[in-house]
Amino acid sequence: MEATRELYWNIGHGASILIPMYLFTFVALGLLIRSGLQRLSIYRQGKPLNRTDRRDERILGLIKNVLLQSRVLLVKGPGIAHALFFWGFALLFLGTILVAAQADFTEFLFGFRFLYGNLYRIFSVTLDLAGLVAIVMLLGLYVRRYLVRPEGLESSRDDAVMHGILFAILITGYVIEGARMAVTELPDNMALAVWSPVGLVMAKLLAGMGESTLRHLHQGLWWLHFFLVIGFICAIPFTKFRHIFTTSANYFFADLGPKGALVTMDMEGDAESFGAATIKDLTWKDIFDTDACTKCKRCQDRCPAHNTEKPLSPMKVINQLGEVACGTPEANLIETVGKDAIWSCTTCRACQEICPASIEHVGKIVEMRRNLVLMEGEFPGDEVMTAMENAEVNGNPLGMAFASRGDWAEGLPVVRLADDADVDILYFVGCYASFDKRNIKVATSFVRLCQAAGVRVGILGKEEKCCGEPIRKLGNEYLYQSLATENIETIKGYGVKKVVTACPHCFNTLAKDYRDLGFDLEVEHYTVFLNRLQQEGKLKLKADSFDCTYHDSCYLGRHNDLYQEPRALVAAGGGTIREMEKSRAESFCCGAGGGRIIAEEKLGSRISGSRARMAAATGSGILVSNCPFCLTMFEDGIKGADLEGQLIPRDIAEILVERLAG
Amino acid sequence: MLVVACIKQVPDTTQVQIDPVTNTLIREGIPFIMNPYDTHALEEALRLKDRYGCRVAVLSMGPPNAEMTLRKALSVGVDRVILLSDRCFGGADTLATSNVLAAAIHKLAQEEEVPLVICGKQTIDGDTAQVGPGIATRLGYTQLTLVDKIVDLDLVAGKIRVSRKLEGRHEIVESPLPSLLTVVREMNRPRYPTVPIRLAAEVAPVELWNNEVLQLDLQSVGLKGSPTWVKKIFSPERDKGEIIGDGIGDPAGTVNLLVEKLLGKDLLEL
Ligand code: SF4
Ligand code: SF4
Repeated sequence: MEATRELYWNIGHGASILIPMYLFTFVALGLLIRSGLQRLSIYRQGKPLNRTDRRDERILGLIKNVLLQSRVLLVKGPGIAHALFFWGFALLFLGTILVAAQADFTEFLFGFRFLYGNLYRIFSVTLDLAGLVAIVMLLGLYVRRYLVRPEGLESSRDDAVMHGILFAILITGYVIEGARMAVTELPDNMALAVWSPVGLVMAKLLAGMGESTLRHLHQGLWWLHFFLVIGFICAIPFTKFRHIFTTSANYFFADLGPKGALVTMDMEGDAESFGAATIKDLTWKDIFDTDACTKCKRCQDRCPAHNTEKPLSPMKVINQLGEVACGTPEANLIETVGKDAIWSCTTCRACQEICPASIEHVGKIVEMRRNLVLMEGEFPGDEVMTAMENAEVNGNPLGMAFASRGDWAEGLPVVRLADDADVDILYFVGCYASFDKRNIKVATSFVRLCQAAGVRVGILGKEEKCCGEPIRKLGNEYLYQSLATENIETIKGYGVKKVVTACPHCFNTLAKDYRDLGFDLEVEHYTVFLNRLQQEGKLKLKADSFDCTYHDSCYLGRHNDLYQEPRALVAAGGGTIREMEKSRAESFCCGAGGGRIIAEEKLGSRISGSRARMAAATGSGILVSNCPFCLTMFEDGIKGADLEGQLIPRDIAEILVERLAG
Repeated sequence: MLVVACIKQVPDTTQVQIDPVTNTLIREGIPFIMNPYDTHALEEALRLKDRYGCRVAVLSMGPPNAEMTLRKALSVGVDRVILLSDRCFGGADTLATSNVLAAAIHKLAQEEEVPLVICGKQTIDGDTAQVGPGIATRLGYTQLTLVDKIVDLDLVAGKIRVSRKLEGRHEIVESPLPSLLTVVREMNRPRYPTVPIRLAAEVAPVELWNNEVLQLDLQSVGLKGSPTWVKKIFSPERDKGEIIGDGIGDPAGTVNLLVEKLLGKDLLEL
């Protein structure tokens, strides 16, 4: 007997079946397309933005993230369940297409069949198991959502509808298969039946019902199954099922970097408004993002502000913007989201890095900040306004005399470029390492390490200004651009080849943000620079073993994917790192990013304290970091969390300088 | 109706050091700022503009480079800025300065009613607190110094009631308009410039009035009109500090040491 089955068995294949079937299908697809097109008008409220360049890369990203579920799988548990469910359901969908393709087209028109023999056996067993995997995974997700109920996971009508329809489709599918097999395979074709193991079990359960009951059951359920699928298609635009299309499309439209670079505003043009106050001030992609969100709360779980009882949830921000875009387009975004939420963000990027839908949270928050600062002159507190005024007058937010910026380097093997521009590197020192006592130690260590490696170091001294990073992240694009332009002109004037920074914020700003303002020199963070010198044998260290834990700063880690070089340096110094639970891409912010370093932390508990406790929990006694902001925060956080004596914060450079060989 | 705020461009004295050899201010590398007290005067004028819709003019007497500071005033939204600058105004003390400023305000008042002039209580470089009162006297305005709050302003009835911040107490004073106020830091928090106004300020005109415009007697302005002059600037000698006791290890003992020391210097009574 040939290994195959009669397609449309018990249903019939005449016009009376095919015409209504295809009619319903096309109407459903028509409705889907119509609702999709209607939704375009919602996205069109936003400003233009080109996200169709670099197509090859975009298509690759789309394929990778849809078919391989790469971003979904960033989180194991529910990520694996989603991916397996997706693969199972996608196979069933593909199977249905193949059945229709043969029965209604190739065989119908040309008498060509392919679903027989071994191909049919593989087809049968694949679909049969795919369905099982899908059901089990869906069940798992159901248990998680409705019984385990993880904190912060909100279940709405959408979720109930989605679980209901999907379960019903899968279960009816098996009963239909079982009923058919009970009639056609169970009696005399067991050799084929074993290729549908789940169907076989179902068939055995149903076998006692008698053929005519089975045929009725089969026919009734077949149509129910069909209408469930039609219902599923129609529900897509009105439920979270939408994400099948919007999230997939969002992979194509994703931000291709440079990671974390903000849009450089045109401050000279004739714009009347700056930043985002209404939905029209955002781009179409910002609005599209809100439609791609599946409310999985992964972003919220990782948000340092949310985790320290501040009124910010990146998920909520996205959803609120979505509600405005769809329902109340005149509403003021800042009032909707709330100023406290907007100011609480540390731009740590934890939300964006983990979001399975490639949503961009940070840019939206910064756009709202820009509106507050540039249009209203508003800041999270007077201390921030003072810092801005200081930066404007003295080139640093700390209010230190600008002429004393280079004083820390007195007596060190460093030249000011104004005196001698023949150097190997320009060390862009940054404000904290220039003025803050604790961080001057780091700067000094770095210079000594360079000296030991035979590198001639130059600084700008009093000609250097704040790189503008905290100022920019707090929304003050005007002041940022004026500081940046001055720095760029100064640096370019000296014809240096390479800039090294010890601050990840300066690094990220000079290496990425300054590009838009015409800066094109090579910029490196000192950990990368020193690591290379060490590997080339120019920087000789003697390992002196110690135990520590290592904090990945947001701007070296998530913003620049530099996880290995600093660890290699710690190891070269003899350090053994006991990793914190949240490390690398999952690292937990120190609380200073997003300009929060110059703002008081008035809401919730201290982020730095939370991180200090995580570090202390490793029991290693030394908290190593690579950023002046982190170091400043940890000095405070350790005191605040009563961990003095248990944990010492240190910068990598300080540790290495103690281990210089010879 | 025009409210006038008087401002001065000063070196940021928090950064000024005195040259130990010549005993003069080292001004090299010191940024100029708007006298901090004046920023509060300016802000109060702007708040009156927001509230009553009056116009705001800002005056400053100084060298040509004070234009930069007047632009800062433009960037927060004043309607008119005037730089009073002339070689013959140079070297002025507080008397000569008040003459020039009063003449300028008088000139403005001929075009438009000026019910209020607001100044900072003093400058951080001169610290005399005399210019405000000097202007008031010359204009015949009532002078309300050390104001930390306008309690009530009735432009129709021509009355103002203010709170004056004195040592350890406040005084509520009522006066007929026109008045000149000198204000303290507690008056308000100066606003931060918004970008649209800032951009407009970059191209807005800074009017220049020299003595051809003001037509003042040369004996009453500049060095010639100044009965006082600075003879010497110096940092007073200070005793070296010392660390006594061990505040962390022995707080009680350290307090005793401190009390003894203060008693010994007659700085404490038992
Ligand atoms: S924004 Fe992304 S991570 Fe956050 S809830 Fe939505 S889909 Fe999930
Ligand atoms: S960037 Fe960090 S602080 Fe800001 S919303 Fe995202 S996770 Fe929260």
